[in-house]
Amino acid sequence: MKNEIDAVIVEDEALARELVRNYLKDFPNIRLSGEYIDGFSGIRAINEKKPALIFLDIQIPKISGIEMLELLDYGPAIIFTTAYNEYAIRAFEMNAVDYLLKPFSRERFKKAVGRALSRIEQGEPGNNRQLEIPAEINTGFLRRIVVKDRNNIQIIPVQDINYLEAQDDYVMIYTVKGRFLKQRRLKYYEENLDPKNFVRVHRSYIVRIDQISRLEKYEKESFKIILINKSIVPVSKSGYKKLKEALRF
Amino acid sequence: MEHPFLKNRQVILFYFFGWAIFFGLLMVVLIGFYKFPGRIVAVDSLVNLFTFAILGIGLWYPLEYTYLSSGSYFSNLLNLIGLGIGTVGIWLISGNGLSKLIFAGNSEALFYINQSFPLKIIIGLVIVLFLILIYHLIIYLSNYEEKRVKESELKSLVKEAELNLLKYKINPHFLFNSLNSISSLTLSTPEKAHEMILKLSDYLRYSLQSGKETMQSLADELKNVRLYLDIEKIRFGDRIIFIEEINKDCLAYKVPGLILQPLFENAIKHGVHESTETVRLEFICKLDPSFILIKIRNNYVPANGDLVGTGMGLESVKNRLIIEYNRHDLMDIVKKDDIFEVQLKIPVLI
Repeated sequence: MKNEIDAVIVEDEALARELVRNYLKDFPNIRLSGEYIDGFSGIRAINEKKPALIFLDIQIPKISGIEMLELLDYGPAIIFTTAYNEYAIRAFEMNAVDYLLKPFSRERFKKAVGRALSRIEQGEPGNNRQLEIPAEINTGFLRRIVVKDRNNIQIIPVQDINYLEAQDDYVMIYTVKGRFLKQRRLKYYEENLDPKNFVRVHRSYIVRIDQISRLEKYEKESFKIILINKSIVPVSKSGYKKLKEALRF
Repeated sequence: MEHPFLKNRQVILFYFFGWAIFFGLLMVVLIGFYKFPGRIVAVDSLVNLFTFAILGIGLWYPLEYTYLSSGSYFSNLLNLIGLGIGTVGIWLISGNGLSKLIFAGNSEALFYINQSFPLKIIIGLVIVLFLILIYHLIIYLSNYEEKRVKESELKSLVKEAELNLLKYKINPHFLFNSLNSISSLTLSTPEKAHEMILKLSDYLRYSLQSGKETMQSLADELKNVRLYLDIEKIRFGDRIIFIEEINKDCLAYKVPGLILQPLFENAIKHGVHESTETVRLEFICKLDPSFILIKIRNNYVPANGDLVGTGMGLESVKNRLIIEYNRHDLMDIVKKDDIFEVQLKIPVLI
């Protein structure tokens, strides 16, 4: 066969890892270079070793498989292996190579890996950036946001957010622990943060409602918000209307 | 409760209209039939009935107070009788007094007023009894309405809980992940696969059989929990430690079927799925004279936001207890440092 290909498994169940390992015996040119049991150790090792193929479970500790994709530095071929069929459509939107529903057969696995290999050969394994990750299934809204902070990975629970500010294609997230830049549009957060807690008060700003200390008049017809931590956020005319509805004043 | 007559202008008009009809009937009887002197009788009756009408409205307040106070049946009855006689007494003094004032110096009228006194006592008592009955009816009907609203609320709660129970009978992710583990074991160690299939079958059978009405012995519930944890242990290896501390006398008592399952699933979900640490599950059961006291304790990682909120699983257990025992105080959740504890009080039924 041709070149050897590096692959890793990210999966928290030993028997599920064993099964993938077992199925992989049919592919002598795939070299299994690592197995990880949570998203945190997984993403660190993956960004360092840059394997071409990743078998990824979704429900794994610390950082979910889907959140992991957001933190990738490059575009490997991804094969999801999960018992959740709720994520399937999103996974394909993310340009994942395949989505294997547990339990899966050897034939189905072969097909998925075959697909991945041909994509890798063509040099277009996956473009995993800027995906619309699904919010939490249970609530329908984001519970946390994962960001890369130099070489560290930060998990920001949404209740730690003070406000968000749009900066071109990025969003600056201001939290109790400092600020973090995330490559994403503000509109995404407007749609996926719980509107009970967050209001888009301006074209460029979303504020966490319980962080608002007071609302001050600012020139004619416009307002600004003073947060509990003394930050100042401008409010547009339509933002004022939304704020009025959210706070019922 | 608001005054039933004063809350609406139409009702108060209707109330006085009732008095007017009574006045008309009285006139027909007294003047038309008994041929009493018309002017005197009309004025005296008008004054007295109007006084009574006003007193009758005021009667509501002490009456409502009597109903609200949680006295015994006998003391409530005494209160009502006292209230009725008191009202009539006040009426006789004020109404008659007013009449006498109007007819001061008119000896014929005063003679008539004095003569009518015994009759007025009887009429007064009848009217007061009638008013108390009307007020009583109003209170009864409004309580009834309240009860109906409460009942329909409880019904919707029951429905929701039934739905949740169905959901919790078998968690599909648990099932499919277990099947995936089995499929892996069939290739590596078939004997273990065999063992896991048997455990999974027993677990599924118990879960499917326990209907919404069934009570199960704690021993059976516990057996099912052990099966569940055995399966999870095969999936997650030695990451799960289960410790039991059970008073053997608890085991024979009945508890709502599948009440423990969602709690253990919750503990596994937050302990095992959210972290890579070893999870220590503790099951403690003590016997109180009137309760079985159950504690389910697990360690968890409090970081990553408040993941151990009131999940669907915990909510369904809470609703189940409300439906089964009609009490809201049977479940408590205690979070301390990295320990999460659910406490259940299962009333001992005799």
